[in-house]
Amino acid sequence: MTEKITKTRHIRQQLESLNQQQSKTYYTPAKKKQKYKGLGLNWRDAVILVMAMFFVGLYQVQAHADEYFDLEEVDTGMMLSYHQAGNDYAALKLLSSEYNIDITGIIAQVNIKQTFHNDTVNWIEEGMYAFPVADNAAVYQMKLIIGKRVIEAEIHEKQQAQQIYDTAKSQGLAASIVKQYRPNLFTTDVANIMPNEKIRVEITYQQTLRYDAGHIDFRLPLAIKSRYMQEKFLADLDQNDLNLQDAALPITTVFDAKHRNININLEAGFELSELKSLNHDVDIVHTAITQTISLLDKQLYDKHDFVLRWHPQRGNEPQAAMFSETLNGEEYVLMMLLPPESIKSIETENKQSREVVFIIDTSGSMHGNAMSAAKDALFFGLTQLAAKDKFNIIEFNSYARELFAHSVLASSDNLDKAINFIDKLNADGGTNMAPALALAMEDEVATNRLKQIIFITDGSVGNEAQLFSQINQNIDAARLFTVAIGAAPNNYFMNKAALIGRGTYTNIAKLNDVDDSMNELFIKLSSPTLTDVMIQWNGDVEQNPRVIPDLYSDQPIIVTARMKNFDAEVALSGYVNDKTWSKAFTFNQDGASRGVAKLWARNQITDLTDDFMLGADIDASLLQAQITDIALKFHLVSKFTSLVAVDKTPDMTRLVALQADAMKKAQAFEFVNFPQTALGWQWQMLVGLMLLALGLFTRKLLA
Amino acid sequence: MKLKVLISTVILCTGLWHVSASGYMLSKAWLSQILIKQAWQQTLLDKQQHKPWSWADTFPVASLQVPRLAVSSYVLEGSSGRNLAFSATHLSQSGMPGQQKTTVISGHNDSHFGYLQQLLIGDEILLTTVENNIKKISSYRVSSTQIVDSKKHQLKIFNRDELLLTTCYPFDSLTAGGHLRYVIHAIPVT
Repeated sequence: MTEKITKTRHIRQQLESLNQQQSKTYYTPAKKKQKYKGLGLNWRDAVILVMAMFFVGLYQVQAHADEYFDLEEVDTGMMLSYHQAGNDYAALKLLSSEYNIDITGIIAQVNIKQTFHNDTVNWIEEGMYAFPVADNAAVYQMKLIIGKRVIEAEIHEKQQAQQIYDTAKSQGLAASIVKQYRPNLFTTDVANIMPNEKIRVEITYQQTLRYDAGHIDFRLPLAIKSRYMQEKFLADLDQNDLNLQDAALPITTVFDAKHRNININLEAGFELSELKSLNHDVDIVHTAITQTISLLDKQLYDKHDFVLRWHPQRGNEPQAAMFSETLNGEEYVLMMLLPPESIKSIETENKQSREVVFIIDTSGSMHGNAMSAAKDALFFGLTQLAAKDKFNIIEFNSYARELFAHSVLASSDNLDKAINFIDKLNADGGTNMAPALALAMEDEVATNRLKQIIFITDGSVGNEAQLFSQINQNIDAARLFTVAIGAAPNNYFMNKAALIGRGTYTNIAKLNDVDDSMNELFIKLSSPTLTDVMIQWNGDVEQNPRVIPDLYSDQPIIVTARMKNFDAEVALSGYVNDKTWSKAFTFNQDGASRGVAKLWARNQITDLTDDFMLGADIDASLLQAQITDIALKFHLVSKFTSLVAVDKTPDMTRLVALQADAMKKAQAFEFVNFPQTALGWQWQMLVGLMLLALGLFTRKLLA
Repeated sequence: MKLKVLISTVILCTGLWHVSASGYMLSKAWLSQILIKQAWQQTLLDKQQHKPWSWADTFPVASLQVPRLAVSSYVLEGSSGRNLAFSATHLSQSGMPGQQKTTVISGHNDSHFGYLQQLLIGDEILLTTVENNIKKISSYRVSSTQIVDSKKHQLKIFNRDELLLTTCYPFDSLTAGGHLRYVIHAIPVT
């Protein structure tokens, strides 16, 4: 939370300084003087003007300090109009929002239709539609209907997208390449919205949901939060309505017609022990395998996101769910493997004995708090060892050094030595991970032991590809768990290394969270519920991930596959506490689960990129061709493709209207946000007195 | 002849109507002050809110004094056009003196807040309010004055203790409805 606040503050500071710079350069006296020479002003006027401009500039800077309408803060689908004067945004009135969602296992296909109304008298030249999407979601379809105009977005290869954009621009058409102002904000520019015009937006995105702590959440950002309240809306309100503020209701209701419609079709794949909406009343209709959820109160307004949460029923052993989608004659399959109910039932003595190798980064960059946090993590790790477990510690900076030549039993004697060793660790020198990893992976893994390598570092790495390939070649039966200490680790490396090492990645961003995070990790480590998972497909299959990770108590295994000859029979096997486990599943082949093919394609692209990173013998241009091919076929935004929006219905009359409006604008009335602070009695009095005089005068003439 | 008499009568009546309407506005502005003053004094005595007249939907929340000019205003809650016709007003969504929020008080430039044009930087402004059943006097000092185009700018409420007095500008404008505002910024005297 505090982190977020500091982040926002940081961004804000940047914006302010940027703005200050802009206003400084913009209001350079020399420039202004020249400009106003043309108006026939003398130097005194010019100086006064410059001063006035300067103060107005200051005023703006001040304004931004507190009320900057930051794209960082968009929290639901909003149509924005750009105000050049303040370099900020105002929101258009939202008439209605309709959400249609299909959820298949962990895939959510979200279709959003929103209607906005430009109920101002202003022509909006520069507008923008913004929608916050979750970080694992991608918009792949967009349609804007503005009056009679239709703007549609399509996925094109990047260069081609640029060409389409350029061509459209040169023909005077509105076009925009869908941009990302921040990773989780979908935005598209919308030019020329007429006064009193309605805008319909339709976007479709696919999101991969997370299973966490026994449940899956689907979240929709619904509310326009109160910070977007513009003074002009306040001014329009009767003062009595303003008391809404006291009721802690967002006063934004004014420009939100509050109409929401949500329909969700949920096919969870498992029996559900619980299904509920956290913040809103919903109607749930259960059928054999699906649930239909719809929002009860359609005239809804509150400040909460819509959150649907379901808990898949867990059994005594791993359970699987399968979904399939048929696309172009090929079958795409999503399999979810859910861990069994409780890990507590596994008695300590039944647990498989382990060999834990700790690798600790003692390079100079760890110096200070990071080092002591890493030491804490190590100490915590040692306390989690059972007497029958073996362990070893390897420290590395420019060189690697191990505590024992080979792993030893966690006897109190050995633990004492380890504690002494850790106490004396000093952060100094370079970061050379390869020798440490080599030492950790050098001994052959004993068949009856689970070998776990815990790699604690601040993650400043340079030679990722080389390290990935080293891990890939030597990991054998061991598992690699990466633990990053500090706020800004190389997440990509840490994540990928753990993935290749069939382990998990833990990021300890705040140094006082060490114990909690390590505790979670060790609970996980002490009890994998299913290891060495194998899937026996019947048929020609491209499966992703190719090496399946272990199943831990808190996260399911997700596998996607493309099958040539579809067969509904699948056999799963693995080890549960050193004992073999296997099960055959038959799943329904309805081929109607939307989004599976897309998820497969996305994973496939990641795989291809990883192959390249791992130093596989692939030509870079071939890789690009492959990725582009997949992205175009499955409508995905990727490194080589982008979504470009082009106005399909050019309308030259709009250009004429635009020019006319620009002229009209000079005298157009705009909203007054300051209270109207003049009675105006003088004018009326004057008119009255003049009329009286005129009346008396005419009377006199008549007499 | 008859027609001419009719025309001159109509002109006279319209003139009379205009004069009396503006007179009514003025007298409303001044007469209401007596009632608001009574209500405010009552509030200072029993620390309760009092409506200045029984059908009013507002109440005085503060009084404002400028010692140097020996002038004072009563401040009604809510800056609606109707309240502004009676007295200076406090913008509901702004803060109150002593709070970490901008206090905004607005008044008409041709009646209650006419004296704003005489305020100088450094002048002291005293605000009397009732807070938690205690009469409280907060002292502010004028730090800057500004003319702002209300078409381009909006009032900004900050999270800090400060006082903004706003009125229409220019002061000697014959007509109402202009978009310029005179804004006096004052900071607490510590």
